[in-house]
Amino acid sequence: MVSEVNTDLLGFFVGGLFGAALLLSGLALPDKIIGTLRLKDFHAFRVIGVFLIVGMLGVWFLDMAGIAHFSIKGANLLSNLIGGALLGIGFGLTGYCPGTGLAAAATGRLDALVTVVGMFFGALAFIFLYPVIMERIEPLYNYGKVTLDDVTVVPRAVWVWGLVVVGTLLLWLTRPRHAPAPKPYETGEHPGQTAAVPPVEQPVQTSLTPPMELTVEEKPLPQEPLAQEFEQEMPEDEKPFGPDETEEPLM
Amino acid sequence: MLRKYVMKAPMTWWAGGLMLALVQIFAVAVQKPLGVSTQFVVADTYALKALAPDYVETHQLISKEKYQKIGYGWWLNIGLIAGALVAGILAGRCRLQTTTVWWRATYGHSVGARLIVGFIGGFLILLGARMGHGCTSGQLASGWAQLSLSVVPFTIGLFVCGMLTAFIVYRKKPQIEQ
Repeated sequence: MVSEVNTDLLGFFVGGLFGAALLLSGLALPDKIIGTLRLKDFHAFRVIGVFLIVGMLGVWFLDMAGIAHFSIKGANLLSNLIGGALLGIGFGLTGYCPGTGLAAAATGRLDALVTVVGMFFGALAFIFLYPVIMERIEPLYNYGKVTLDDVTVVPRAVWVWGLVVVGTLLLWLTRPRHAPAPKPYETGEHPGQTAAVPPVEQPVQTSLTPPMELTVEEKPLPQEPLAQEFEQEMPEDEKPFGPDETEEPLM
Repeated sequence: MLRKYVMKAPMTWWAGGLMLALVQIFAVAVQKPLGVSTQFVVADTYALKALAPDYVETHQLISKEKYQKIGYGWWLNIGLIAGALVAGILAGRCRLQTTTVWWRATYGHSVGARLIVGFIGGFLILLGARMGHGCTSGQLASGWAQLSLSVVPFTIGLFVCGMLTAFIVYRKKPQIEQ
């Protein structure tokens, strides 16, 4: 009995660390997950990348040291694929998965709480559907509880280091590029400013070009006051906006 | 006041990923790889036991001891909730919220629709997780850690469907704090 209580306490401790890590890393922030699935904000992708790469290496070292407690899941490839697909649809709809849903609900997100309630019903549906569906699709493409190095001739070390290289490459490809461009153009939150920006430069530049003075004959009297008005008024009103907005994307 | 931009995560990407990986390594060293979704079935089994004990005892799956015992995995989830709450308070991220920034960018302040979509999503998440033999923790993270064969089709299904769904549902991009 003592050991069982200790196991429960251990579970609580590991869970506490996991929950804190999920929240602090940003995986329990649904906006970060959706940003990654939309390929617009790679923070969550990079967190998952480091999580998987370092976890894979660490677990491999534990395995070689003989102190790893493995729990390999059954490779019923069709049910793995269908399950992953259904989970993916839910993941893309909400930005949550079971662990992050619980964590997000704990930090006051009511939508996550409703998602967790949906999860209990999803589990209930699984219980009811299990005798009907799972008994039929589980035997399809069933390889048992095997690892990648079991089913291929490639040794585990090659798999691990190969995946480390692939993962590092993906991290490099998704590295943050500091371009503040999305602010006015993509959100469209300041349509007035975006519309005003491009035309500002053109009148300023054309008014300063020398060809105007070269055509002496084409200078009738009424045009002079108009040109003066433009030169005096335009820069004062619109110059401050022009350089600020146009220089930003170049940075 | 509802936020209009996506805030930074409390930790940088490498620190957050490293912390998660260390938790995983610790879990594998002391007990078994991380997993969350099984316990939803355990909770439902307890509820069904009270309502229809005969059904539970004759069921091919939930009659197994694994689904009738509250132990390590259950307390891991309780700990997860507590850990997220404490970390959320310390990081100043505990706020009552009903929608997300990405949701508001496309659908405005439609709370009801968000909750309905959230419920449907939660339903699919757990149904899929159990059919695929694990969720993002128990299958994706732990599967890659152990290099199980099952993680390959699972990962393909998860990210292909996740991205397709997100591209259909979240059409407008909010501002994102870098």
